[in-house]
Amino acid sequence: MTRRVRKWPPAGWILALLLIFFSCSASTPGRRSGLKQAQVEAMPTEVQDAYRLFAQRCSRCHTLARPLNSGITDGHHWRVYVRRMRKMPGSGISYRDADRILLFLDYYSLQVEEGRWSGGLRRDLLKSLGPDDALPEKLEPEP
Amino acid sequence: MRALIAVLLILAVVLAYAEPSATAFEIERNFAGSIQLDYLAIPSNERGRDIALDGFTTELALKLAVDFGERTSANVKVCYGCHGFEVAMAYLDLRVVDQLNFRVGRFTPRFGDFWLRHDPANHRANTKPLMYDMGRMLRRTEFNNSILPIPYADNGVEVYGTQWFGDDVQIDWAAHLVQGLRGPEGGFDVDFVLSRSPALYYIDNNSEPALGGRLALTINFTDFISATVGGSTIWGRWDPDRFNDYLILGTDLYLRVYALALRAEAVTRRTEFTIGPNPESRFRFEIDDDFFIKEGFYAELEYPFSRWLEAFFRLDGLRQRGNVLVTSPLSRDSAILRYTPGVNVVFHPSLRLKLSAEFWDFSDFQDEIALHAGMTANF
Repeated sequence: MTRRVRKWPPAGWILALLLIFFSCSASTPGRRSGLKQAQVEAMPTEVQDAYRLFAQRCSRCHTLARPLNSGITDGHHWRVYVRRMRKMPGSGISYRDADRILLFLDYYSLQVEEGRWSGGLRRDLLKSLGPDDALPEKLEPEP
Repeated sequence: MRALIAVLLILAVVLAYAEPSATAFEIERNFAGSIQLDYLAIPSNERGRDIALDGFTTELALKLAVDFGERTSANVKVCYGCHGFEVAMAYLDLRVVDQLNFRVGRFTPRFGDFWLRHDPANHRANTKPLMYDMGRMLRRTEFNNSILPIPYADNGVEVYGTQWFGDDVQIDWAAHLVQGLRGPEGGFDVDFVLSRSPALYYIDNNSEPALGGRLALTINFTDFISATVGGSTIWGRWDPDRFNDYLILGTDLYLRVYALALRAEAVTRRTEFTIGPNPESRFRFEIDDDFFIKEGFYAELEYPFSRWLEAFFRLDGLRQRGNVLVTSPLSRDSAILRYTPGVNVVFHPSLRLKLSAEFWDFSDFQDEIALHAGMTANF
């Protein structure tokens, strides 16, 4: 048995962790069990940006596999889901973010429903829907 | 008690008007779950079972979330772990406005940052931080477990809300009334087993709820850089006679820069105990206080190098200061530091292999090395 005076976290360790932190910080978001890079690149630019935001916000608390494998394809269900997640503490999901995340989720749901997921995403899917259908229903601020 | 009745009355009134169009709303159900099988080996000790619950452990969680409307939902979660099946969640959520929401039933009160990620599928390490450990730590009997078990499921009411200032600043708040941690009459410390045991029914042991709350500030500096700082507290009395109280204070930091995440928390619990008529035969050291302090921290860096390889490093610690029972091998100031590097190999977005090595630095015991290999699936 040893008996030593305990030193709380050595300052050197903390400094090393901070150095590692900042040296790694210029990375691409969305790697956490998310879509393959080729799948992301196949999406329209606006949806790609929305996906990256989705990946950043939603991977704070869980892997991206959880929403992507949830089996939800109904737009209204996604809105209720995102509304609930938005209220999680520290979610960082503002109304503006929620709308952008829903843009990706709607696009993703269409891919799943169309059975195109395994064959890769269609670049022209949103265009083929027309401007009204392509835009997701917005999450209105609550009274 | 009056406060609790008032909260329930307000809740009843709000419920009455909350879903006027509920009949037109299609009920949405979402089923989710996770499984983790973990193996703990302690190569530095000839008989690991003497100091830990080594070997295989399976953790299972099955959760059903039902949205009755835009403002009400129910969640039920069943967990299986070392101590069998437990109901970790059985609550109703009522969302009035962003700033005012109610949760009633059985739930885990909001405390700290790890509270959000306690499911094994949601954190990279095979184990929980020491201060939130639920029984897999080495020398758990000597330290009488951690500071606060998470998930800490309890029955009660929680009021919570979030306020946005623009699109980049978010403040979260929460306050709860729950039954509280339990301990035996004339005991020395809270008893995690007693706190969750059905043997004494899932009711309060001293007719007095525990109360607590949390306040947190989140700032999105850009889409890809954000931070949260928070503070949490719980206060209650743990013994049947309501002589001894406990006060838990915690602070937490989350910093996300692109894919890199830094999480850090510090928690302390001040626990009062009954000295009794014969302290010299009960306590190991001369009595100078009727409380002891248990404190802990962790700092964790997490980085996904690719879609299939994620790495993390965690530094965490636990310390107990103050008197101990005469049977305890602890000194007046006993501590653990643990260094944990590890990786997750992601075979499939829902399936990952977790590997980690833990280097345990004890102040009062021989240092140890523990190795973990686990498989986690979420669905």
